[in-house]
Amino acid sequence: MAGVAGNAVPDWVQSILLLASLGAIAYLMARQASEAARMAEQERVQAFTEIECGDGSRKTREFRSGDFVGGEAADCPGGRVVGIYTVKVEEEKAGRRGLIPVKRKSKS
Amino acid sequence: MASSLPDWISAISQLAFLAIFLLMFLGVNQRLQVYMWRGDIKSKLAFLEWLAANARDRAKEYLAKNKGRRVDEVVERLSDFFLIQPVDIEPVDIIRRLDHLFNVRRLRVRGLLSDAMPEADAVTRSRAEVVLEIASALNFIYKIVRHLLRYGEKTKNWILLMQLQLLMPLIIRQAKTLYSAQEHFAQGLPVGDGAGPLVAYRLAGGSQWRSVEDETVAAEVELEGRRLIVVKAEGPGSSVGRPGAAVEKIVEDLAKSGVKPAMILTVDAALKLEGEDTGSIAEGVGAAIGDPGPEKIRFERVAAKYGIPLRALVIKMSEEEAITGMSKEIYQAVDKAVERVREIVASETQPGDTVIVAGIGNTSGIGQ
Repeated sequence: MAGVAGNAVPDWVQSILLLASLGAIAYLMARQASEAARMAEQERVQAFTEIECGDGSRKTREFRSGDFVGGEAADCPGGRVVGIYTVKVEEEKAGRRGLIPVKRKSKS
Repeated sequence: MASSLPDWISAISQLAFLAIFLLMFLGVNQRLQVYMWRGDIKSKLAFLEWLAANARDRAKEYLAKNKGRRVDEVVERLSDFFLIQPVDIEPVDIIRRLDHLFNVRRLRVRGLLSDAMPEADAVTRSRAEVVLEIASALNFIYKIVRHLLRYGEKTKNWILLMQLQLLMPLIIRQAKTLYSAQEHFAQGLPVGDGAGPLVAYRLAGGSQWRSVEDETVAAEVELEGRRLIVVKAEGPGSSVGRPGAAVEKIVEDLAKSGVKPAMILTVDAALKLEGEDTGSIAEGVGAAIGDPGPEKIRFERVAAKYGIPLRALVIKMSEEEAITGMSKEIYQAVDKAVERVREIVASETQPGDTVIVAGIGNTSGIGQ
């Protein structure tokens, strides 16, 4: 069946195109609105301390306040901190308005 | 003839198209776009304000936790602390003037913190200094963005608003990095920029360190039959020391005893380009140090004065990685950098030579 006034494009196609355009605009606006929530996401890190024992062996444990490279470590006889580094954990998603962090399970 | 639904939709579509076309001529599309940009900037500005306020609260918390006095007053005074750059149209003694201004700033901030934290040790005070500097930086970023937004709105400068909106993702990214870095410095974690001092620490082995300059230490060790003088900032407090002044002093002292170093090698962190791997190592010529001028020029002047080769070794990382906790990739790259130093020293100097290696960077969490 021909469209109104003999248009080559059927009317139902025009309707679909219009609906698709409105849908795309709505999606883009929703995406911009969710950008505020994504903005507040914060990458968290886990810190580890590497210790060299008096016998030359090395061990790694979680960082403790007061650890520093070159400092003594009581974890083993003759222990000395030789390195401290960090590893990223799974991203922490922020709560409403990005103000209240909600902790997720961290990966080792 | 009865109208059908498709007829109505078609008529409305054509009217809408005509209306949009006319409004475009009147500039309504531009005003709509500016409205959307302003909204976007305002939402991000609110986030920057939250970061700045939280950073300030964290600074107050850190001072209070370490028995600080007049905490609110100290934080408010230092959050707007500024340094006016020296006149550069007359560059003759600009380095000396810049050095003087940096020294005055450093002494003033330290003086304020000494009064505010009389019971704290030097390491805690140095961390407080960095924590406060970051709070000040975040406050400044927030104020600048707020100023540009309001100025653009007042003057109806849509180009300024467009540029600001386009820059906001970069600004937010840098602000979030500074915010994370504040926590890491407060905890005393080594940061990516500490790669240079960590290389120096590894090279020195268990050698005894001695103070050479303000917050700068040196140690002597034998490496591949050469006498290695290793220089770094004094840790584990957060400090970059004065490596240029220290190396200059060491070279002048050696010259008095008739010894000329065969090489000065600086090891530092460098910004990687997008696509480069974190922890990749590169070597070159010159002073690998990111200071505004006073320290770098000391390396260059003393090397040129005595004809000493000035070599550089860098460990690449992003800007975020440089100021936040040292990542595992950078930590692993430090050992590779130590090996590269050995290779450079072994291949470019002779046994019996004296070589100076300066580990440049922030020594937060890295002692001696």
